[in-house]
Amino acid sequence: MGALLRVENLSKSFGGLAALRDLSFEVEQGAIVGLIGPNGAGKTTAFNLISGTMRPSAGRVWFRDIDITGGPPSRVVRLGLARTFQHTSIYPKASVRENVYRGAIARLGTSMFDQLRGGSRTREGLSRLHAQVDEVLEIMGLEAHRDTIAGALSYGQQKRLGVAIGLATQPTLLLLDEPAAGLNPEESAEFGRLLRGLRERLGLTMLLVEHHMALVMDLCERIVVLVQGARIAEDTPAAIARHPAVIEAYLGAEEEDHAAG
Amino acid sequence: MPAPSASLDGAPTAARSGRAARILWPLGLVVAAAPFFMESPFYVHLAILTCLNVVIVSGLSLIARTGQLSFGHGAFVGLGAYGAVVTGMQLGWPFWLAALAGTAIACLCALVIGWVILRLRGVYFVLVTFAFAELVRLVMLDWPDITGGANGITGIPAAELFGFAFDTRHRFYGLALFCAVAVIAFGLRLSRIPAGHAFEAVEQNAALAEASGLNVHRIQVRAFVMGCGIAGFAGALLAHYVGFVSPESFNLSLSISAIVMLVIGGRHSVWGPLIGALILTPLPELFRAAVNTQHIFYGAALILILRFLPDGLASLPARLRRARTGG
Repeated sequence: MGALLRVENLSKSFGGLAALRDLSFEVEQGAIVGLIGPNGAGKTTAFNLISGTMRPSAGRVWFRDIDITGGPPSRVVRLGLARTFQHTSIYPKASVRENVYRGAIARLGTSMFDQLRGGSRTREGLSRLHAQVDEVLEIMGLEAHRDTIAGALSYGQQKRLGVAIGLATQPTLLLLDEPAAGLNPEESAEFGRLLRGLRERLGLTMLLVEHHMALVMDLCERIVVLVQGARIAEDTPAAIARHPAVIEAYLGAEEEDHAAG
Repeated sequence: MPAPSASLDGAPTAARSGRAARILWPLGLVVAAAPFFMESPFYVHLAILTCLNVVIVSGLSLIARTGQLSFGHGAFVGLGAYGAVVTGMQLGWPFWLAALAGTAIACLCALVIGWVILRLRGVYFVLVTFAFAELVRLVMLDWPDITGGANGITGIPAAELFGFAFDTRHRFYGLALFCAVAVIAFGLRLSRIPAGHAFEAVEQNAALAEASGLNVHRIQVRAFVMGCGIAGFAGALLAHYVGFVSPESFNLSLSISAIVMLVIGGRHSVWGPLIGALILTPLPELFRAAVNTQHIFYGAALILILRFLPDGLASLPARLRRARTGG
């Protein structure tokens, strides 16, 4: 068996514009991998292609050696690959607990008729589901807000709820699209600790797109750098920080000598 | 708030709704039983129409619960009515089987068009359901061998179950009331099971629902088929009550009045269809003299509700409670 996630020669163009060109990388079981790059580099497009929200123009995506290219997303999630959204995505009118519960429903797997008549499989499945929902709330530090209407949470709490909904699907691999966007450095560092805790507690593998460099450098073991839709580097954080092409892309050529020296 | 989260949130809501239930249940029983003791055929007639509207609008509310609005709901009532009448009168099927056939025809049509058009969102879906309804009406008009064309079909026998004929208004009211209660009970049950929670998830954030492993398209098709099937069943009942069907019985104005009842009653509550039907079924009948201004009234009511009470009259108690506690 190969890596948990294998992205092979993934390309996507919109009209004539190539948003992503020939992207390949792998994510090993248990790893935390970062996907970074300047605005418009194609990071979110890569996420949409991997999670099945969009169909690639070319290339394949393999998850647990299953071809998941082109989704549909609901199937990809049920296989164990969940994602969170860049613009926090929650059910603002429902309670926090209900939000997480909705993330877990798809795993129940009993028919509507069994649910309607309250069959034993549904009842057993539900009690298991409710226990898992409580566990996710606890892990994400949201149990004190379980009955709060999600729309009334603070921004940081809503971000955590977004991750909690993803966790409720019980993923093997979680794609996080800018989990720390809009958080201050302190909150962002705390989010990093939270994510590392997820790996320790749940054995979760993670792939994240992030702009907060401190968080990425601190959290990830490997980093893939995208510039204008193409991969320009893939390495450890320390090596990426010294990589000339990365420095050029981020800081501009004239800074290169200074930064490298 | 939608019912499911209230049921999950625990004690305080339960206690409050318990107090309300002690008042509302006896009241509901009295109102439901009253038509049995009424002499005036007109009032019993209104009560029957109200029950049938509860069924029709509950079907529409199922569709709305997954975030779609159908402008062709009346056509599915018509499909059920014609399906039941044609199989009952031309094939000689007993009422229950004919009603089942009408329901099945409505479900089947909903499955076929729902599978194709439920990929459309918002106004596009609305427009296609509208076009489909016109298509159904034209087929009813232009297929006289089966549907009787513009003349419709007359002389439909009364509904009969196990040798018991629902041939008086009081008897038929019993049947209609049973169906209305059953449909609401089904809606309540649905809102408490995971499949019902999935409906609301799809309505409130389809992208997130899909990203949580819920197959949005399949869930919307399922709700559409169930909602249209319920409409078809109501059509079968209606045809056997009125004794007459014609294409004009199921035109756009039926679809629109169902939408108006749903919106005014409350889109996000199982009780919305009941409230909407209770208020809006008798109104036009009582104001027969004002038949020309009826649609103006509908329009004004719709605008006022959408502006000031977007979740309809069913959300009024929660609104008042919040206003009282200053929340």
